[in-house]
Amino acid sequence: MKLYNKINPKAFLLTCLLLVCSSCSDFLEKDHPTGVTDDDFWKTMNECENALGQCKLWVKGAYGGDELGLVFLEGATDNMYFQSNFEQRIVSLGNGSLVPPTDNNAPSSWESTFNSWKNYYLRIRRCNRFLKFVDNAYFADEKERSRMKAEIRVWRAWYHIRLLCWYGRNDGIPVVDTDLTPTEIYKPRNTVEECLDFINKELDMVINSNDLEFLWDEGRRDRMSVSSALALKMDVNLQFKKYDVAKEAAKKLMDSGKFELYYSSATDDDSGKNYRDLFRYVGEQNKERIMFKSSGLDNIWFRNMGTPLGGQGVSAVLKSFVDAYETMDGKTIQSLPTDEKLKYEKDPLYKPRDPRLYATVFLPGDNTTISNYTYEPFNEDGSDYVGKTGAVRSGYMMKKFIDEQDRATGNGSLDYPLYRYAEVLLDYVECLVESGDWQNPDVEKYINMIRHRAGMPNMDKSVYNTQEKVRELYRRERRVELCFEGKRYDDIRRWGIGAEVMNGPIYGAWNPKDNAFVTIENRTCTFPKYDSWPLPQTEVTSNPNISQPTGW
Amino acid sequence: MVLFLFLGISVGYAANGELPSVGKVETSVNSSPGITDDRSWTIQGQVFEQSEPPLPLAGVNISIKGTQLGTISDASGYFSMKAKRGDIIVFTYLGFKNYEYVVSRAISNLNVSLIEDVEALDEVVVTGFSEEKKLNSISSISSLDVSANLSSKPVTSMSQALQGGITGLSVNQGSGLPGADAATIKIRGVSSLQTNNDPLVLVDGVPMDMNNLDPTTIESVTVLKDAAAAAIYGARAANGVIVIKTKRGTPGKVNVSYNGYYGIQQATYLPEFIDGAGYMEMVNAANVNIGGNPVYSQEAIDKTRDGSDPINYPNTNWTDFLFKNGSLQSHSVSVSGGGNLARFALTANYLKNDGLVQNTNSDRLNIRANTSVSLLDNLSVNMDFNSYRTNREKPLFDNGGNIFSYIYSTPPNTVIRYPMKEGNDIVYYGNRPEQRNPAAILDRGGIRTNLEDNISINIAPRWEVIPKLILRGQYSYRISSSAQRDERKAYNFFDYNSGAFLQTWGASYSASKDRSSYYYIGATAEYTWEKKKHRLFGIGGYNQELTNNGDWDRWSMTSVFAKVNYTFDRRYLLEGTIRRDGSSRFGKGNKFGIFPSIAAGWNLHEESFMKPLKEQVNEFKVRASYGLLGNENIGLYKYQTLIDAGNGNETVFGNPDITWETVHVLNIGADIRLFKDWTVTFDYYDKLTKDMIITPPISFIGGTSAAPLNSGEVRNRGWELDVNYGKQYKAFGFNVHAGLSQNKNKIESLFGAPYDKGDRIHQVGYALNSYYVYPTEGLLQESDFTKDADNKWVPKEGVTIFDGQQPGDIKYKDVSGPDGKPDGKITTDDRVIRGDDQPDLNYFANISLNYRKWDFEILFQGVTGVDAYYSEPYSFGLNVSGDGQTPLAVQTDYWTPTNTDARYPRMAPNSTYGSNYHTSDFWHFNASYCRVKYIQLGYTFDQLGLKKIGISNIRLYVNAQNPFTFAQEKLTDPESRGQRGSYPLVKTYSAGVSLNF
Repeated sequence: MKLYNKINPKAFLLTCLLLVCSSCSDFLEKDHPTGVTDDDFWKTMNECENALGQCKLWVKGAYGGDELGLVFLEGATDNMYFQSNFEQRIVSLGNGSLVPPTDNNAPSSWESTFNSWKNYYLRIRRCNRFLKFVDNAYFADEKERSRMKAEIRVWRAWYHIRLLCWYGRNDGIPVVDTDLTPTEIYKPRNTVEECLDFINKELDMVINSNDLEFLWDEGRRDRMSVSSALALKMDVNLQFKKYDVAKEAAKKLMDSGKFELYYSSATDDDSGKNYRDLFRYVGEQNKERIMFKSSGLDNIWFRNMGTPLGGQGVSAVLKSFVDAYETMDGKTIQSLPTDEKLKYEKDPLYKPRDPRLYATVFLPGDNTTISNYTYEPFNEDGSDYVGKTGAVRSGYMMKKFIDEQDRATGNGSLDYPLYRYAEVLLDYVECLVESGDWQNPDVEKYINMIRHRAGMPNMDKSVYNTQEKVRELYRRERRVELCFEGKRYDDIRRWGIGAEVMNGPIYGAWNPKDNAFVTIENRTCTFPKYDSWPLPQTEVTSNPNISQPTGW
Repeated sequence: MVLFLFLGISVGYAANGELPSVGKVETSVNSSPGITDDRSWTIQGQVFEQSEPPLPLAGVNISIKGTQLGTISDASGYFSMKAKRGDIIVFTYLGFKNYEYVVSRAISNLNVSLIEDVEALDEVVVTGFSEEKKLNSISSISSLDVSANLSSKPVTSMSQALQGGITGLSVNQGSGLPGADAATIKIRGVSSLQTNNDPLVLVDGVPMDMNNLDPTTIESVTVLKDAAAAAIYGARAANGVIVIKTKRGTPGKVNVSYNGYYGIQQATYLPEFIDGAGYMEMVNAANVNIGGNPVYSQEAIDKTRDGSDPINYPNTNWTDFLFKNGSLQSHSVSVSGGGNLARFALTANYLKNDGLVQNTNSDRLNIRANTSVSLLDNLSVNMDFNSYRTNREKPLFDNGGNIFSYIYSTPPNTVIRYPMKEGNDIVYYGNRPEQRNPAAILDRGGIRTNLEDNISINIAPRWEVIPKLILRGQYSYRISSSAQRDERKAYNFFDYNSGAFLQTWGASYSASKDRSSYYYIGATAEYTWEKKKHRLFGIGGYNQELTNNGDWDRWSMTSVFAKVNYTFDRRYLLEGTIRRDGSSRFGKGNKFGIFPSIAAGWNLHEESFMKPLKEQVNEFKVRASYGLLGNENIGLYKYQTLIDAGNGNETVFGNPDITWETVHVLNIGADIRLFKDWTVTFDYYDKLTKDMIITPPISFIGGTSAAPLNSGEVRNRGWELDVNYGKQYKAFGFNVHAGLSQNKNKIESLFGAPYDKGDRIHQVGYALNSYYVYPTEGLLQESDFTKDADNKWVPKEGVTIFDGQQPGDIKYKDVSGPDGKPDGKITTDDRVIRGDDQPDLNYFANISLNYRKWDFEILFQGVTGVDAYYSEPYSFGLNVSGDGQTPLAVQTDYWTPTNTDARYPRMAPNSTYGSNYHTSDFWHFNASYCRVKYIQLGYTFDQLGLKKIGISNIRLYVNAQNPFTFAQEKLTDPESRGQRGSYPLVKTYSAGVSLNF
């Protein structure tokens, strides 16, 4: 009873009142616990270094999140048919059935290729913001500030190059060099010329300054350098047939004396060992490479090998590509009599062939490359049988970049070459030939340098004696030498051969059971439509100033 | 002192009340021959009116059934009498329902509470913070029939129980996965784009997730639908409010009951895939159609078909492999009772659900203790404690899709597990990309275990300062924590044929946690003033709440509100409500919103001109209300623009001006009761959401993300009709309750419209999220093409195709182009708006019958006018790329030059060939359905003999949940419309028992 007495109604009321009044306006201030603004962030060198890291988006060989896998993009060329549970749209890009991605068939997180529009403009924004704010920070060493700014410029230019080649080869892309406000983002395309002017201006600014090393030392090779700026400048100008500019950039790289073709120190008698080892761990560090993605082939074994070797078997090399290799004595099989040619087609190593073929492709019956393993695409009981899930679809499996060292893990850490010296030489040759200077002795010199390294005889000057014929030679040389390095896709567009090579049925190896070549599908890419990728439908619907590229 | 006070009050009460006459005593003596115990025991106790807090009842007539022996409770409700074992003591009081008690022994503290036997009009309805007599209510309110929809039904998540029984609700269950089978509830349509449109659910006054409540503890579920009812919850009431009250103890003897059931679960719909040989034939046809050669030889197909060599030529039914019967069981024990000082209700419930798939299960232990303590006769405190623990387990593998999606991707000609080889313990699985064989996933993919702990306390004092002036306070505090553990042991896969090592699934062990806390504090004061014909009720209050979630995410609200309800002469009703909310989710200057509502009603039946019809028209009320409701559930930090503190990336693109969505609700309705037994409720409403928050699609070029805007209006307009008819004869009774509701959703304006989402669109004049699909006209035929010199198909003049289409592909219509005219190309411009997935009509009918001790119930529930579209593999079935995809058995009806009127297009390795994958009206289906939600048959034993051993009754029942579905759609469940990768809805066949001691 005493207890009840103690409860004082007044005290109760007072407590209630107090509770009501205690809620001051601070109670409704609940900002993000860790979010900061630009004013708080850009203070130190360390923060700028972190921000710089967020501006980088590489391309690589194997599959890698937002980073494009260039080996697999080769599936949209006549070198390869690509079949996998990721980047599945590459098949449509190759056979001409692609449609613009809409929100309901938006690229999944396993399809970075068709998210590139978004991914690259996001990185461009980060670059622009970096350049806008980096001057607010304190740097103990001003050279570091200019180094970072120069690196950012190269990255930003590279993103524009990729967007231009993939989304605006005929139409251009919007050039973005400031951090746009929400009302400024609905930009139209700049013309191709304007894009090139912007890219060249930016790259030149870096090339002509001393902000970056010409080539960074091994420990800092993932930084942008003057040589990477030159390689990019060479490439983009070649793509758009600015041969003089491209040639000049190539020449600077050649004259620098920093680069040379790689020769293996292996002592076996494989005539293709130089080329073979260039793409293996033994030759990973070499003086041929200009730009590369460190560990860019980290899952190539798993992606590429067939089921019996624990992989997915995604890369099916096409007959058209295998048939491009010359015979050991420098003849094309197309120049041989029909029955002889057919023998090569049915058995590519019917007689000695360009050593690069054996270094690049597992042919049916190959039992010398991987220990205790024979590639048997036509054994119906085996897991490599063409048509089975996880087996290579064509009967030709990619061997380039495959090192048995990766068998244990199924992954790996091989670097993926983005630009190497051989490409510089081939670009230089192309510039000479296409600008009419096909008889320049440099043409023969550099083609032979590459053929020699590959273990092939010199070019036959009696055959390759017109501009047309030399063009045919350097194009074939380039296809074979640079295969699966992400070059063929652009080459087809630059040379205007898409209608010819991206149409009709595609074939694989000779299937002795069917007495026929494996037939995979019928391709029907139309050009100039397939010169560019379609924009995401959302871009076109929300931005009144832009439309799909020509043909879409 | 307390005793003294009670005495005083009771005396006063007794003086006011009329002393009841002694009830008519039956003369026929109901002798109990079996009784040999002839001792006379003293029975003492107290009688109360069942209310909170309870009031003693004086003058209650207490007699032994069949005799004239009896007594009358005194001024404090006390009584004392003699009775023998087996005697039935009957408590009778005018205006209250009789209560019977069977004597089994002497008892000195028999507490009895009598329930008022009220007229329908004097029934009390729950409205927001208070309760009102139905006569005075002007709101659109519906109550769930808890006994029909919850009691003894195998309901695993409370939200499922709201399906059927309340008009204006659209309840849709998307999955039957144990522990994740809650239904989504939409009250009167979809009023917001950005938020989830979930109604505000208040459990004993505090916002809470209803799905983890123990259904056996639910006293009432009330849905507040219009602004008059919901405005008192202002800022979060835009999607309607569901008010749930839990059971409290009442004075009386301690009541112990057990409630349990056990049931078997089966899927309602499962995919029926093509068999192995059929699959191989389809793959061959597909490869030939794209210019390739067949993959499988005829020999292999034949061997698969005849099943002679199941190791090399397997034929697996993956649906049968994965889905078995599940089981469900629930056991509840509750103890309740109390007296004038304290009442309690304690319930413990254990629910266990073993799903249809191995390692898929959940269980939940729920304990609720609701206690009420009377400190003074006018001051009492509710002290409630609730806790639950849920455990969930499911197959861990979700790398590129869960296990349910892998039965869709794994071809039937894949071995489940090869026979073991002698000398080793390796299990060989049929080879799949990355070894994603469903059997391997089940055996080796690991298990994900989730647990959640939740404890809440609720303290609510109530103080009647002077009669009719009631102060209430409430403090509620809840903490919940959850944890997750993933376990996967490493496993090396080997090839069965070659023995070669294939791949390792590495070991994976990880654990994580989450936590959140929430408090609510509030107070209200209410007063009822009555004088002559005037009655005025007013309530006002304040509350504040704070949630602290995860690492440091916090959000808070403060609110003040007031409501006045005025009745004149029981005829004219007027009500006004206002609430001001402050929310931390908005930036400075936008934190506060004001939400008023007004309502008026007219009790026609109280008018003198209606008196002659009193017997026919028992109740006739018309009412109208208009008000504003708010929606603040826009996510956190939308007003801030932020960058990552570690690397400078922009993380949030905010809009400092972002503010409340407001919903303007007009409601006109009528409550009618005719001939005592017919009740009809009709409502018409018009809800207009203004300042709807949207995030417009933007160009990617800036590299920015869109910030949300307040722009856009959407209207929901509809009506609801609820009819109930029931009658109880002596041995037989029945009740029919049916409801029909219609809702139309329409976007009135939208900044930057339309928002094209590919196959969905937000467009002015159409429902939110309407389907935006290609119109089609069957399949392309060979007659639509000619062949060119290269033997390629060329469409004839007037036939428009996508690049690469051939005979047998879907024939799309060229209806538009960039200039709004057909342009001879099929492009995204050709899409048209075709329906939406919100039902036009929602209906239900509940029929219950009882005959003597048998009872029978059935509930039908359905929707019409729901548009849906097949996605793969229900649309185009085959995909041989990627992880693959298996066609359904029905898809053998595909186009060939000889099967030209096929249901499905020509075969191809996947749907991109021939552009057959677009969402088009070719893939439309009607998702209307009528479902028997449950059928229940029960029998009650309440023999006297049982009572003598202390059991007052036993009810046995059998129940079938979702047993039948009537629908045009045959391939997938029309309710969930679940397609690839979804866990099916379930049918449950259960049997149970309720025991009351």
